[in-house]
Amino acid sequence: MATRKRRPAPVNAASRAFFEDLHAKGHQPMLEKASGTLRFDLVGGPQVEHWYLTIAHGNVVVSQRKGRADVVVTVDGRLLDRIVTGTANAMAAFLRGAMRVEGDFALLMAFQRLFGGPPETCATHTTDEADHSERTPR
Amino acid sequence: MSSDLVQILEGNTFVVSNRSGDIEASLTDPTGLFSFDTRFLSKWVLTVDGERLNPLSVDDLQYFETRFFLVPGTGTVYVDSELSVIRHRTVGSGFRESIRLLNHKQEPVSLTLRLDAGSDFADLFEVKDALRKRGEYHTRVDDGRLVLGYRRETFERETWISSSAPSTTDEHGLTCAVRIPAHGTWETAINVVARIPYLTQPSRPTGRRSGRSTRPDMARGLDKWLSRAPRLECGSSSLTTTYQRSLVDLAALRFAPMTSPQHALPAAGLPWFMTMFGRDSILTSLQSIAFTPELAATTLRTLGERQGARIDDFRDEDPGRILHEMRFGELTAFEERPHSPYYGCADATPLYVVLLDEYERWTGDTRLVRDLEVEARAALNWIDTYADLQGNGYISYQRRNEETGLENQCWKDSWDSISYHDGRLPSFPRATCELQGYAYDAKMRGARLARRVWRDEAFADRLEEEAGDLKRRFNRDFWVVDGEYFAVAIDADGRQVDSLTSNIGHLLWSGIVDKSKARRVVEQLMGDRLFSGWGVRTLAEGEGRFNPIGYHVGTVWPFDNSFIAWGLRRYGFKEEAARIAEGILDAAAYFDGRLPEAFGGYPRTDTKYPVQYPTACSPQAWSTGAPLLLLRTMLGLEPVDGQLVVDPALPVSIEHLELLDIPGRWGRRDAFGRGQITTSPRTPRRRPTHR
Repeated sequence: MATRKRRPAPVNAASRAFFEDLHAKGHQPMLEKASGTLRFDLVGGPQVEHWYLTIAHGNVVVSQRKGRADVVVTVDGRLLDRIVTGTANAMAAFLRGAMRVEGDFALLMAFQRLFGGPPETCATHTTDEADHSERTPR
Repeated sequence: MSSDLVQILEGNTFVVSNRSGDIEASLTDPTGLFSFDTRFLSKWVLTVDGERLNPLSVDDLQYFETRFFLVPGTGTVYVDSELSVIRHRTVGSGFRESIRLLNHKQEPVSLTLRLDAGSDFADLFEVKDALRKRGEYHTRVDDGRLVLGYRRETFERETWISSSAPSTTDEHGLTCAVRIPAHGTWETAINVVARIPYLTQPSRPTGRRSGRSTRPDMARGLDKWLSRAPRLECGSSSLTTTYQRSLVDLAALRFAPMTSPQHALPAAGLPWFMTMFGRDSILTSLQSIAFTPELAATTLRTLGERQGARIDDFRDEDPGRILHEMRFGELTAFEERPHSPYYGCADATPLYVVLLDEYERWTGDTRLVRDLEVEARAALNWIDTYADLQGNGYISYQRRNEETGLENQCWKDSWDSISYHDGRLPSFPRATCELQGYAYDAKMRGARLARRVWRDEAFADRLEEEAGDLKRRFNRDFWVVDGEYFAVAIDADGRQVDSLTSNIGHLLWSGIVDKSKARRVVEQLMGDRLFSGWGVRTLAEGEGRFNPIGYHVGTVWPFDNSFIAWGLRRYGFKEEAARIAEGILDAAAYFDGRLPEAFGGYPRTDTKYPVQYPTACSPQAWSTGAPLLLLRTMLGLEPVDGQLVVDPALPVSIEHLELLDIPGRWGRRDAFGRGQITTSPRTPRRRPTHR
């Protein structure tokens, strides 16, 4: 993901980077059972941005071309930026009505596992899984 | 639950009222209409001509419906009313209440019926901790319907109240002007809908829910559920009652997750724990697998969908970890509580693999095992990586969310449950013994699935090797040499936490105990420091913190005992398993077939009857499942090579037992047994156990 340290990131930048990164990676072992198309509608900006994610056999194809979708997720772009980078939680956002979901909820449940964890805890825990010294009592 | 309260429920919607059917809750008072962890009605009071009504009787018809017979006035001595009122309440996604007025006079009467309604929209956590609301309330009258609402930013909850009979509606309730002929009746149906615009119908988030607040097929659904379960025939009427009670309660405890509303998994307990809990849902699914295997399938799918995927200290989440608890209320929605879901639980992850294997052995459903391969591998990986906090090859736990996370992440989750013999509490991380047993079992069963279904011989070999190594180390590191039992835990310094507990019974169930040590473990379990005559105590008499009415430090837990009995059978101790089954089932008879979460650990010879531990949660899922697992252990039911093996070992007090139409990969099979084991009156010998 690109790092923009000086200027504040434009709205949807993190979300866009997340989607583009998914497209570049292509295969996601966690999604091998899932199939269908998710549409994310990013609202709150000058115009609604649509992202289509088509999943088949664990492969993810990302596009902005219009088509049919099995589940539509409507969310403020700034909130999705925070969700994909792990500073906000998707399920909590759904429970408070900040992320609206229409359609195949199970597909979204499978997909949401790809959202990141909180950056501060990732930094302290994930450097080396085999190194257990970090998880001794603090 | 206090006995002067009435509760009915369906899924995670429930109503708790007084015996008149009224609700008048303060913030901390646990009455009201609740749905998705939010209170939708905190006030619901029926009056006739300004007078309160007095209960003559209350009929609990089903777990989802109740009928209240009422008369005006609050006189308690003598009732001679010329008016009767019948409230018939059925819960659904809200509730429906039919109110019938019967005039017993020889002349017509004119009355004013009034229903006062209000809601504080409290989160269940707020009811528990007396917290204040941050959002705004609103009330409106909309086409004759009263709408109570609450909003905080995008968070919205509404209660819709309407009456079938003409009524005038104001912001505080409904009024009906009623005229009833001589000896006549009058009736209205009040509909109360707990409305979450975007949550309860995720497939159509902006769509409106139907006007009906109850499912018409609930009674039929219960009949179908009962008719599908195996039939029990036996000489003991109390056992028959217990079995029927367990099946009905298990039906009541079913909870349909949002992602698959047509399937259900067991929630943890009524009414405050009607949500998915990793540990409770898995253990209850294991207990009931010979009776209702479909619960296990939903549990596995639902928990798999929500398996941890990232590292998140607030939620104590790790990749591969199975959740502890899911909640839907306001505090969770605003990330003021970590239950979206919360993962602080150290046993659900290995138990997930155990359940997956047990499910396949019973049902032959290899498709589900293939579908969940990624999840099962992630769970097995969690055991060796994220759970090994001390780098010593054992599962340990220590919460990372120190504000609202759980301290004890094993089933004995109260603050003082894990202690040394002298009563001191160990520091964290803690590696409790049963966690290591579950890890061993998960590896062995994972190996079987890898070989048979995933076709990964190398992975299977590796898992078996790791399991063998774990077993060797465990029998060395946890064995208390001078006491001859397994320590309850290893502390942060690698020392044994040396109290004698029921946890050693779970070790038999998982198979981690060396054959040479098994007999000694069984003698400890059946000795009178642990065995009360009803069952095995959580903590042995003579330990520093022992208290026969202490939550996890001396009481007897029926669920705990059902797994201990299973463990005894695994190591061939049929007679001892039958004694435990008999003790727990005898106790059930004192509770009309509904076993409580726990009862007192007093010796059976002292009290004659089991003393219930005061608790607000009944029925509880794994107590409901206990008689089912005990039936399985008494009949010695095991799926072996695709066939159902029956190897009965029944106490003589149960003369004969037939369980008909047991579902599984064999279709339906019957099992029979005769009582041949004399279990009493034999006084267990007191043996010096240590020091």
